[in-house]
Amino acid sequence: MDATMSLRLLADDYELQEADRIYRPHPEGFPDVRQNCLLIGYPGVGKTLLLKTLCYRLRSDQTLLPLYLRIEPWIASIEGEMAGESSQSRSPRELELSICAQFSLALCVLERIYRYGGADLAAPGVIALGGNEEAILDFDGWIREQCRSLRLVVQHGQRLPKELIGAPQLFALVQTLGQATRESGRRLVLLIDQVDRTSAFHFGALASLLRRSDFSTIIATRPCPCAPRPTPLLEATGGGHDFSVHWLGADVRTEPWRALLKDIVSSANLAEPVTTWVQNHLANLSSLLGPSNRALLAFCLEMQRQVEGPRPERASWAAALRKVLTEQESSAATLLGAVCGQPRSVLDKLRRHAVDARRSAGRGPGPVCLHLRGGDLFGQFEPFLRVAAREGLFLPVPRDHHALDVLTSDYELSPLLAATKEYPTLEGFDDEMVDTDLDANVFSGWIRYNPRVITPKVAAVWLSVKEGRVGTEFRRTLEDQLLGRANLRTAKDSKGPAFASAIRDVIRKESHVSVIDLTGFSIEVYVEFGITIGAKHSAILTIEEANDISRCPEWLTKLQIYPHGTDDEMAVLVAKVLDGLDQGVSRVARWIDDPRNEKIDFQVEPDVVAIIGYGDNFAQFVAAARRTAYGRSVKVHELPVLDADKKPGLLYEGIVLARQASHLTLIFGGSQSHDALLSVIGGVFAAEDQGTRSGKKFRRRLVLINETGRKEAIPKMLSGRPDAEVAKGTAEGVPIMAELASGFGVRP
Amino acid sequence: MNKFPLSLQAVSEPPDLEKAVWIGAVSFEERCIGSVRQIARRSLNVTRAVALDYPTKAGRVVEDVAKRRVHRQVISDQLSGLGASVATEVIRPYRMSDMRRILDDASSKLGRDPYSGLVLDITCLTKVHALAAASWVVGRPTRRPPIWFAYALPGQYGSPSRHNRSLGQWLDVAVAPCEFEPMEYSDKTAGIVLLGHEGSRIRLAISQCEPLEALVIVPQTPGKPSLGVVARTANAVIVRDVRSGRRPGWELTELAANDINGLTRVVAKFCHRAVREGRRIVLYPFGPKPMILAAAMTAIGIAGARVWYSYPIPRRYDLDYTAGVGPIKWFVAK
Repeated sequence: MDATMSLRLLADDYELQEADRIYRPHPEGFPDVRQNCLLIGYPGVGKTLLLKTLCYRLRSDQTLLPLYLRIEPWIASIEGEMAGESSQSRSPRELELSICAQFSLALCVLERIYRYGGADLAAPGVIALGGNEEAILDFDGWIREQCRSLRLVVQHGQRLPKELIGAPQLFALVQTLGQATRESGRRLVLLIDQVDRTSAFHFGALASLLRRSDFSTIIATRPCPCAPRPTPLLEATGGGHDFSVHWLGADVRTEPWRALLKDIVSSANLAEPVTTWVQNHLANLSSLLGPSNRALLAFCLEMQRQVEGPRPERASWAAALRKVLTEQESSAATLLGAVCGQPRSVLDKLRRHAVDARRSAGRGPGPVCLHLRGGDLFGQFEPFLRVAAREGLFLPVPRDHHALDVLTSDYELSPLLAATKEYPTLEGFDDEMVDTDLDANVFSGWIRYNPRVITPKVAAVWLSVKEGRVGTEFRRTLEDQLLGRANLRTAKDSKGPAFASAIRDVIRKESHVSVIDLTGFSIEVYVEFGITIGAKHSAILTIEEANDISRCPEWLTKLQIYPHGTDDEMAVLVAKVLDGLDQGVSRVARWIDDPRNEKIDFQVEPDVVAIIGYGDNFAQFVAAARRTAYGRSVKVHELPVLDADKKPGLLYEGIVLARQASHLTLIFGGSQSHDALLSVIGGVFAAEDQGTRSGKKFRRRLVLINETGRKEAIPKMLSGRPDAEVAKGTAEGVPIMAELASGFGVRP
Repeated sequence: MNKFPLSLQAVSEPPDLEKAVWIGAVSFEERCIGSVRQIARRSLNVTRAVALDYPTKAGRVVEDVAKRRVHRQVISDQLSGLGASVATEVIRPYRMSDMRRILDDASSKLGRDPYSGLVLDITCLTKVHALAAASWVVGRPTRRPPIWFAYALPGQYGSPSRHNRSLGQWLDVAVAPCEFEPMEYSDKTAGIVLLGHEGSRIRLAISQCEPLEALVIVPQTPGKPSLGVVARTANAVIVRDVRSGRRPGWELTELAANDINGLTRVVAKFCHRAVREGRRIVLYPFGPKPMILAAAMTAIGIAGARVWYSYPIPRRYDLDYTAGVGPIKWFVAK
């Protein structure tokens, strides 16, 4: 390390020096920086202090370039944007934020390497991120410009620039920097702190740095850093385990650990009576407080406050301990609230269970090991166990478990659960672990609310398009422009004999937004539009040529149709699709925004027969149904659509009827425009299979009457439904109408 | 960093503009329609309105949905009656960028007309969005139309014991900066704690980011002493710790909830000191919304990107948090 760099280092970073001065060595020592390492420890054990001290001391080693990385400022804004999201799918916005996180972390590494390694070492990284020689010369200006780009995306919700999407992955960038550092005769050592502040979604990028490479990475984290979700360590590192695990405070009931506590207390500059008392009771304290040195210091300060207060004679170590532990419990309970119904109640029950176990063993307060027996252990408790382990409430046994997600059936309960409240004093304390079994099914009952662990997946867009060359090209272009921010699904993704049901399921269950391409005329596309409306997803209508909008059915042109023939038009369409995925679906888009009828939703009503269509025989079908319905509880609704082009509200009325009717009849007469409208309405109806009458489910029926004599007049997406009935003309249709209107009981 | 930041000032009347855009959130709380009613009564020239729909949950679903539906309809009817085009936007409640986008859109549609302005009803905005609004306003001292803030007091608050039921029901804790500027980060923190009625939530927010020094503001409501009792009960632990000297760097200040100028003064003084000492400022935003907005505007104006917030996200809101609509307070950013 040259003199200039040393001066620079010392000038702008006093915190590391300070850490070095106050650090008291852990019995486990420092991790080996020649290989990758996971530094794991419970809250308050001293991970940050160790990391800073290590960084400071390594700076005197000429063969190493240590960098202490505090990732919080680089990632917190992005985490804040994603806070509270519990959706099962990742929207494009979240995927873009994930790319931003990778880029931001890359800038974090680059900024540090520039500060402490110089411009030469940072240069390959700057170039890899799209910078040039000018950027290297004016590094500060360049990195501020990069932060500005990120700010526009993160803070103002702008779309990610393409150059950021193509930026190298974090591991690849750091590998480039590691090679450059190695060529300069040193080894790059990254000391990464606060990893447990990142979500599971971003953890992968950081964990990828643990792969075998030209640099070393030490990641300091609590166990289960992504709680309540699983920590994707194996996926991120390729499962190669090219790292060691360095646990801090794995066993605190040992002499070396007690020596550390003694050292901490001696150097804390406490009042004489407090120091003496604490040192005389170190065995009890180390056993009860667990691995948290922070808790020990908090306890000492509380004692000090009591001793220096107006009534020193009333100072009570038991009360001080209880106060410290109660505060910890309060904080833990609020965090556990995310994964169980009544966190305080769960903690109370665990405490009682632990106290009973100690009492039955004839002992006073002290450590308890809980063995969860029977039941589907991890299926039920995973989120709870992860959060409890991360917060230091459940300490897995053995504690130096060689994994980050320390899930097991055996846990030492944090002494704070076993030692406070139930015992008026701490008389009779002993250090011996008492084992107790707990039925997993009973435990499950305590937890009550147990949210499923959701593995997020990329949002999907359904593309409804006429089969053929134009449709294929459109699909390809759209796929290219989406840049992996959403998956595109089409009819090809729903193969199988019952294709109509399969397509419907893909639209309803797997997709979030539908793009309906009206180019050419395909009646099936209109059915898929209807299914989208029925599923209450956003539908985005598009067409290749803007001029062709006027050729669409007139009732449709009242809606917004986006052309996509030119690059600019395509860009607008893609932006609309991404916005649709990012934002919630509005009431208008869900077709439930009726100014005349402020019902929030339309439900299937029993005993309602809807007949929608046109043609000379329309009245005959309606009359047949009404005749039969007379005197019964059946309601027959008719909706003639002959003047669809002149009545803009017809589509809405059709949608409402399709949502409410228990049985729907559509009469196709051969007019392209009108049949398209009926297809949309049929699609809405097809989205729901069942209705409920008197608490029992019944099957809805769809009757398609073909008045044209042409087989292809009826969309296959509707006729292909297993429960759809196709009838020809009045001869077949009228009896079915009578049957539909008869089978629902007689009015009392 | 500005020496004299933009501040929030109370005004007695709603703005008399030729062209106004109203933005507010639809909520289960009745007071979300307070400003709209007043605007309609005074026939203000609202040309456009954006009703923000949060996909949040409160109490029983049926009741929650029904209340929001009625309030949505009232907002739509009243503002449509003034000739405004009313749009509904579903936005994520804890995403700052969503709020900034809404304000950017509204601002760009208004243009530079000197007799036009934004009316932002902060009553039922999430606190994160109130902070986003503060950051947006301060970040655009000249490049934005004039902006008025409306805040409707409730007729009454729910019972003080209700929070016991929702104790510990937090999905996540957002600890993030108001502005993305990682180079401005400082390890040393100073906190501005605005005490509200949710003691456990405040303690959780503090436990996630514990400041060495803090300004704890206890809002007083002289007209309604019962609210002060609720706030003191809910925050008894923090108040006791500060008063007893357990938290040596912390100071407690009692301020009337409507004393925005007083709040601006103490926050400005605290922020200037924190900036001098190279600290970042963490906001714990749990008091009345105008106080949150005023404190955030002052802090961001002085410390810029060094202002962070710590905010636990609730799983579910309390349907009976407030009842009725009280007086409407108006503020302007100057």
